[in-house]
Amino acid sequence: MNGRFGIHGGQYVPESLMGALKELEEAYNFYKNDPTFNAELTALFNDYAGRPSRLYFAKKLTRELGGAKIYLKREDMNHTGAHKINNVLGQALLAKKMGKTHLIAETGAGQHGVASATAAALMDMECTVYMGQEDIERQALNVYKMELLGAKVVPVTSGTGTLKDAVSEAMCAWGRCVKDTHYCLGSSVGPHPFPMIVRDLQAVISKEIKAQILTAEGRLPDVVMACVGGGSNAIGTFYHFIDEPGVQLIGCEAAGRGVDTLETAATISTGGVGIFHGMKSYFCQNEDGQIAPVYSISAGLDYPGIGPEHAGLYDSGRAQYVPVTDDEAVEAFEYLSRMEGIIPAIESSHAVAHAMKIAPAMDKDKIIVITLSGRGDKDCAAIARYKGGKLYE
Amino acid sequence: MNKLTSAFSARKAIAAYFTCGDPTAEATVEAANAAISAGADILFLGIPFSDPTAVDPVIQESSLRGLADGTTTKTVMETAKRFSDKVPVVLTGYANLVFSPGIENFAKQCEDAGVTGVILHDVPFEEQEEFKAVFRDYGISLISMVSPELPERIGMIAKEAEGFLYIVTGAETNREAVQNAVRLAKEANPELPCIIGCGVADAAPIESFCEEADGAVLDYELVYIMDEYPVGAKRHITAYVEHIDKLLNG
Repeated sequence: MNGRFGIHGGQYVPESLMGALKELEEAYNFYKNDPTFNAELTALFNDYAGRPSRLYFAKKLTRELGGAKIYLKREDMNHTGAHKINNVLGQALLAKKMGKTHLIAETGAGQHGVASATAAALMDMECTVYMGQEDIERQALNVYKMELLGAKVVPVTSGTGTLKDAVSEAMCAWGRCVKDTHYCLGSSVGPHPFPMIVRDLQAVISKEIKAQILTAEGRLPDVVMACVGGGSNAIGTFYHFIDEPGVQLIGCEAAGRGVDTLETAATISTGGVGIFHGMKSYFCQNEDGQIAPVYSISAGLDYPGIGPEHAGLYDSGRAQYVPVTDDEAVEAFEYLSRMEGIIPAIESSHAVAHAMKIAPAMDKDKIIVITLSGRGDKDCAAIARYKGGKLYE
Repeated sequence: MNKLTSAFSARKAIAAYFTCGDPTAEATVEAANAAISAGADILFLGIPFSDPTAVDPVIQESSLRGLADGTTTKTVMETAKRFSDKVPVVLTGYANLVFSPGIENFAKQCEDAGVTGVILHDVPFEEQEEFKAVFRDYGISLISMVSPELPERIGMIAKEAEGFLYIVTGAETNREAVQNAVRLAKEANPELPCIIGCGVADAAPIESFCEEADGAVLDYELVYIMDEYPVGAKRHITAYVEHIDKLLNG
């Protein structure tokens, strides 16, 4: 069975897409072991995206919370401001090798859209980004950036006009133009081989953390944690620690206004096993199997599903998934800004918020690593409005 | 020969597609009656889905109209039951509508409603067995789909197909590709009827696409009629189905 994580994963797509998935899988299986491809990718990571990203000991935050030592993995310092660039550079390079001339992508917060537009500009490819109407309004600055970089942004008005609908629309569009187009899927979701490809490309995060923490502390951390929507930065953060049983893995889901309300996007806490967007995994849905409209303040976590590898890690008990509300995330957004002079993306703030809950109760010799998946510049106006201000971009 | 296959025995079969509950369940019943009276041999009944990603925008919208009317899987089963003693009824939808309530539970509901076939747009050959294994016990065929653009997969799929084979054409599919698809399917499984989903309203390609095949799925135009004529859809449906029947069966 292809691309399974326990019962999860698979390739639940229309027949018309099977050719494209097979072609992608074959190409990826070849290039992932190709030294030239890997050398080119490493050069892009290091010289263009600014890797390795720093592992920063947050001394003030640690002292203030009074418990475990907290390190921040600074994916927010990458070129384009988030971990998304890791995946996009790999997929764009692969697409180029496959002879594709056009990238299509979906985006929620706009970070993956900007990263895709960036890679397309760099590699001289066309780029079309599908983005929910609601998100276009929430993330106007990123829309401008994508267009500045030469991409075409297509508004998606179907459904809730958010990330889910953008993925659906991008997948449909791919079905119509598979010959010259690569679908640069932005998270560790969708049909095989996407969850595997995205995870492999994001695994650079945990590979670096492991080396960096060994240098800094001489041992592995007790907890690594990250926010989870589809789950690409989280699976990247977890991957090289999965076989280290001493390291606790925590994914922080967007609970929106709370897991006891309908305005939530906490898939593991409120969803059930289902099949959607090409994969078997956990989804927010009703008893007939209709996918539920979800909500989070964070456009990047506003998704009714979770990547199949996370679903597998949850089933096996290897990783733990916790809900974090809008209010808690906003508090963490403000707290980290004041405490460390680092403005985190509202997505990443969900992970910071959970660390603020657990760190004080941990011994001072324990170590937590939080992946800051992105920077919060894009969120400032929306958070100001959330707090009752009248700031518009 | 099962009930589905027998729908193809004498003539080129016409499968009429309606999204259940578009715009109301009662309208679907009237429309289906009109299509059957005009010559439709099989009824395809769409279960509205929240995220109908695999189909044409025209049919996507009908799915959302069906949901807006409050159509549930239960409504679809009740509607199916009203036709299953007249013509074979095939439900169409997405994997989660079957998987989430439980495949066995869904199959039982199909059995009660007299449904003989199920089409799941997002279940390709590689993922079929999980569904087929349960459906078999209830005498339900999981219908296989092939794409003329992927000829290398047609033989493999046709060999294992049950009921009939659904050849789904796209905007760029030409007659030669359809002919080739039918030939490959018949080589692998000579007894298997092949039905063409034309995805277009024009009668001419339907006629030419179906020359070597065993029937046609009329979806796009029928859904278009349901949307375009809130009043008087029946008359247009009758005229369209009769027209296609004449073209295909003389």
